[in-house]
Amino acid sequence: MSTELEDALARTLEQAAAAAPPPAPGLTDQIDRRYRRRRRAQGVMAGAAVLALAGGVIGTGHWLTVGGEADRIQPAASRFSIEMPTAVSVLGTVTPVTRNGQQVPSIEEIWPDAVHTLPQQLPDGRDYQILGFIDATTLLISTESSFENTDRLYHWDLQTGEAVAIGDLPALPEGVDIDTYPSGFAVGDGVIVWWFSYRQGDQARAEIWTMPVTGGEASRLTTIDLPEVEIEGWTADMLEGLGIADGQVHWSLQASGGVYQVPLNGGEVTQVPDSDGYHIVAWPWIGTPEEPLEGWTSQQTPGVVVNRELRNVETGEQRTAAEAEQGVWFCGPELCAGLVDNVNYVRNRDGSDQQAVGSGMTFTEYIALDRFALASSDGEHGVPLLLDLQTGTAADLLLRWGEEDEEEAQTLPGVTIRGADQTLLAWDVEGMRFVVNLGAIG
Amino acid sequence: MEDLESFEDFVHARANALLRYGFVLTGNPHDAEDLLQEGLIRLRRAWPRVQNKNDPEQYVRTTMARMHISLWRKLRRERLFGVLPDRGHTDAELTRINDDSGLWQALASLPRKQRAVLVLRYYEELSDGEIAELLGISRGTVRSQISRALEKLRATWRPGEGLASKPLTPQRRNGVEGLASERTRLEPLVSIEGRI
Repeated sequence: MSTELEDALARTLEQAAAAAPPPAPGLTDQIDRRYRRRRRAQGVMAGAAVLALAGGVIGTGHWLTVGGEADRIQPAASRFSIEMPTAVSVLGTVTPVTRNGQQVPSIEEIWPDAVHTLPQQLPDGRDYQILGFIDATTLLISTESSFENTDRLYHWDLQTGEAVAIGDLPALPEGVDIDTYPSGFAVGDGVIVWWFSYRQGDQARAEIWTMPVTGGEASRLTTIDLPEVEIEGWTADMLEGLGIADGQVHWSLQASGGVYQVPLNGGEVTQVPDSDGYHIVAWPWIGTPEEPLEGWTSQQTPGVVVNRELRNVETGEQRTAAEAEQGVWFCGPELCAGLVDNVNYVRNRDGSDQQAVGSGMTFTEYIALDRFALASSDGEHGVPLLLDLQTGTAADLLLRWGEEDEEEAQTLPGVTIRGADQTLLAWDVEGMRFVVNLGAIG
Repeated sequence: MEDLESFEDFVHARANALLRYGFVLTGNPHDAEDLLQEGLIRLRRAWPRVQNKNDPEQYVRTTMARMHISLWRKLRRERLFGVLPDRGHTDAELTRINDDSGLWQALASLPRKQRAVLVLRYYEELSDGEIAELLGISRGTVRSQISRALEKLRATWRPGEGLASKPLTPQRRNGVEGLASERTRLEPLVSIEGRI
């Protein structure tokens, strides 16, 4: 039997739906164009990649439910091999772009050893996620058995194209409400670490698991209780900055702050002394972002400096960044990236050597390895470039805004620097996945 | 070519209804249109298989609901630490709906998963089991999400007041001024994930 509230809600939804605007004109044309673009890109892939399944098939099949009917997903192979083409062979030549009036060479020309071109799907048609680098030329990837549910880890040798399964993730606990699926994969001390979280009754919990990087069984390192948080879209806190150093797994809590550690060989979780409210910025540096940034703008005066105070948990060294007159600034141990009046800047922590790196759609929030920033090429709709702040070298990532219409421009794939150690830059274009190991750039 | 024609027929016949669904799911016309387009592109790709099952509409609705929650998972880190003034954008869109009962506004404060579950129950009129299957969660989770969401709505609900049937002004993406376009400019299409 429905309540008065439920009836009112049904009426509200019905009336709001009736007030929705009609679809934009030309919807079918747009769908058709975007669909063909993606299909064309996949066609390129089929010709470019030589797919070879080798070795036995391990594990049982998984079932993915779509629209009420079950579709069989192929069991993942324990190893496979892919021939990897160059970007130029896939994309052909692209129109050069400039930065500060100078033509920008492609990333393949500048750092050929650091950039890799991969297919977007594995030979069996599965999607995969890139989790990080195990070493300079070996990638850690995962496959998913269902929506966001990582089931198997592989290491992928980018020189030979050979990928080999490391191991399977354990099944997620039954009878609980999963909040965050396996996330935060990091590699260190010969071990892969990750976490996931769930709610069991009134208590939100996170589990941290490890697996030897050389392969083997996954094992649970620890289970922690998560604080409740009152932020839009959240019900419980989450882990961030998960990593491994000196035989310890470390992390901080995204909303509540606090930096924690647990020994890799088991033992008690301890909080780093005097780390209340601190977050991991770049281990061993921790900082205090102070307050949520919601509502801050690049016009605001005085400016806001995130991570103005940093502390090294190993040496105790403290660093204070210069204040900002305007905008929003994010600081690492050496450099700060800022957004002022919709222009991106980079400068030293003391405020010196400020330079503009881009504007418009480009937004560089952090500087990877205190050295690499994303910049944009000249023009109103600049394309993303990778900028080496040590040498001033800019590299073209070969991404271009669609020329067909403005809608396409909005589908320019995102470029992200990720991985627990900030060494991974990855983006998808024309059916290919580009991966750069920033740590391998000399 | 035959399947392409029927895909286009499907879009012509159902786009309006699907956009309305996207609108109650997301709460604003721009996200609704993005969700619809993405859902239809995936349907186009899966068309031969889906067509055989005779339920393309269910396929799109399922895809849209899942993508909406998935997007939330991807963006929630940035939402806390990012600098996107998207709150103003949302408010600007919400004021176009004049709901005296407060329910439409209150829906905007719910986590995406809870809102999706409410839409599937009270707009799509699905059962616990159907919602559980569609979102890939347990029936118990569906129940608990619904009751938590209703509890939150009850707190600000003004019974007896209704939604004034004031039609939304049709908005095109390019015609949105102010905060919405500010948000578009700042969208982190290029970003460095995480907090270093």
